[in-house]
Amino acid sequence: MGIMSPLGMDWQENEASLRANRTAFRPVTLFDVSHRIAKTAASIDLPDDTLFPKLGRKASFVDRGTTMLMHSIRECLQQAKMTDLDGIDALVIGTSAGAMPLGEEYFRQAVASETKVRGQLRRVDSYMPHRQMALITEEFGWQGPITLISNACASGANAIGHALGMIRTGRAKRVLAGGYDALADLVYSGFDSLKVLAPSGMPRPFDAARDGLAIGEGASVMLIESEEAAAERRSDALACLCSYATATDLHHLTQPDPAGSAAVTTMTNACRIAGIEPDQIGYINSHGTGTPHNDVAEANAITQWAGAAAAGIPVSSTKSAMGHLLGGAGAVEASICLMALLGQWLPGSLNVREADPAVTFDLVREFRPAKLTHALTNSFGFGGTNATLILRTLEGGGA
Amino acid sequence: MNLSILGTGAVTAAGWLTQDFITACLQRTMIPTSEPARTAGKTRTWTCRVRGVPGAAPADLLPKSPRLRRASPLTKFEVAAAMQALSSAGLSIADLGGRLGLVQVLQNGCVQYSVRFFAELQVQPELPSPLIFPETVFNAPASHLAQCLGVNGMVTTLIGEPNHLVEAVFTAQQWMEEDLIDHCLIVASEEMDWMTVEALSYYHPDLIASEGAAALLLGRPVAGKPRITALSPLLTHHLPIDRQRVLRELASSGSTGTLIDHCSGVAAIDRPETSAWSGWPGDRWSPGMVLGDALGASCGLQWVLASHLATSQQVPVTLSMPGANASSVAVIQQV
Repeated sequence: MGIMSPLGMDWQENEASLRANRTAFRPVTLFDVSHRIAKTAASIDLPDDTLFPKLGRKASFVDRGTTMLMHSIRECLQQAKMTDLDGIDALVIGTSAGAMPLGEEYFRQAVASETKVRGQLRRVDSYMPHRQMALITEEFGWQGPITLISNACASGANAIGHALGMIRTGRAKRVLAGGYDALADLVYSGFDSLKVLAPSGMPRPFDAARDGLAIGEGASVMLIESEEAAAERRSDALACLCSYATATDLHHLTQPDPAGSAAVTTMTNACRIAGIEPDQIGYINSHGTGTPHNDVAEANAITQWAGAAAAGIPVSSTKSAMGHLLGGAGAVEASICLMALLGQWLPGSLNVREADPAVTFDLVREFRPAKLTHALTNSFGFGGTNATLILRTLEGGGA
Repeated sequence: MNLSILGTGAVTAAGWLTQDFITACLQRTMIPTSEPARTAGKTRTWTCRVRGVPGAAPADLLPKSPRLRRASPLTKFEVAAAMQALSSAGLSIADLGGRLGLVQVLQNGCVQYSVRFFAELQVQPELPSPLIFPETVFNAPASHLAQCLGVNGMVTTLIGEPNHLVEAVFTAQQWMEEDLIDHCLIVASEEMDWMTVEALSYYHPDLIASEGAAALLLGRPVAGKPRITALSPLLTHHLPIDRQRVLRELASSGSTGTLIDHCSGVAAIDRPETSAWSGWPGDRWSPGMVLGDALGASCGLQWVLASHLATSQQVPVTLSMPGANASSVAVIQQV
């Protein structure tokens, strides 16, 4: 697994930040937010690494989000003791905004001139997410199939789930799957126009007085392989990806069904496929954005799905620390579940003063050690996409 | 590959009906072009042309849904194509028993709203419209379509080159093998606006943009329906020389019968493909030359035409689907 987020450049840094209950919010400097209600986000100071040494001149076409994705891919490969993408059957990546900043620049250049503008072909070509992915595969000299999934804020989870399906149906033995998104003016302004960004700059998921979400950026990928493929490489698996379930909430384009019915479906189906009951879930990394609508719907869904067992299920939202990574969220949060399983700890849902009355579960308010065999992560997106992933320790048994 | 094409639908510059598209292709109709005016910034001084979907949808083609009130043109193309695909399969939503999946394939997405929202941001940064932003996300049309069809299960959006439709077909097969669905509606679509039309003109001044949607209703094999008898995975290439080699390899694997290519009518753009398929002995059709480049909808439209020809002419139909980063070939025939 590889991860780059506002909490750290890699697994070690992210875990250290989660253990220390650190938050990553600061004033936005990448673009002008002077007219926005919210002014902060969780951004990454990209290191000045040479990530694309083989691309030469084309390396200048690489977008910010692609850079984050490449960082996480390199970390993942290193952990898996692989030097490149040889042996990987497919790349499945989720994103909601792709290389939006390049598109924004294309627009600015276009409207400023009545004639054709130098550099526009490169901008429009590089703006397309599949062209960005092609830069990554060209760097590795890899010629496998790339699937790009874009289901808003569930994209990263959908990508990992799709990879699991590819392996289970025998379409692939080994898939690199994950998601990414980088800060972009259009997207930040869009959320601000909906008045869902926290004016306080601090998202407080499941707090009774929460006032919205904060945008973040980042990427994470996992190498998912069948047991046979892992044995072939004599590789040491970190954990088991048990199950994935998805459903579509038809209530509204942006607002969830208040009862969280699609989330109940995904959590129920994910448990059924994993062969476990709700009370065996040792931790839920919730979607938990910090908006009034999402958190109450998700809380209601957890209560309905788990019933009496809800009170004993630890739940937190790491968006309280790193913001909402949009297309990258599902992948990063699945990776946090992986870290939690391996380290036997739970990250906190930070800055909660008073829990919302809808909270019937064990809301983890700060980092704590724990014993857990199964971790579940929820991701919900605009358009009603709901996704649930369940991971377990290798000793956990079952599906 | 173990799938049949049970029904198809198309909305194109030829008209809102699938038959409009088929007739235009077979008769090689000359569809008029227009020049889209900019809605922001300085007035353009060079020529770029588009063939747009004409007028509004026929009154009975779209369901009455509040979701369609403010939805983008792309959404309406998709819904119209999807309804025709279901109708041509002789199936209603009720017949599908809640086991219908939906895969949307796009290249640019809801550009009209994206451009409008970003333009508003530049001019009045304190007042961007909250009604527009949600409609800019790639999966918004799929969400509206899912609501119109009552699909609350497997719905996803794939983005990429037009031939990303190949991944959509593999996804449909995967979901059926996982017993998650019994049928899958694949909808490939695109809408045009001035910015995208201008962008295409940077690739070549003679490229004509187009828009529309193609819908394919896929299911397990059914006698009397066209079947996908061959489908290569997307073979990635990075350099032009690799692309040419891949295209030649794919062309050498093609069947006899009819070929539907991806040519645009611009020789410089088409050269790698025409060179690879130069030895093709049978009939050849180029919907792109009739319509223009419909980007994300273009491969889907090839499949709609292929399905029609496989049924009407009872010959295998080969589809050439070249891309900038990856290419594929498929064969469809009545079995």
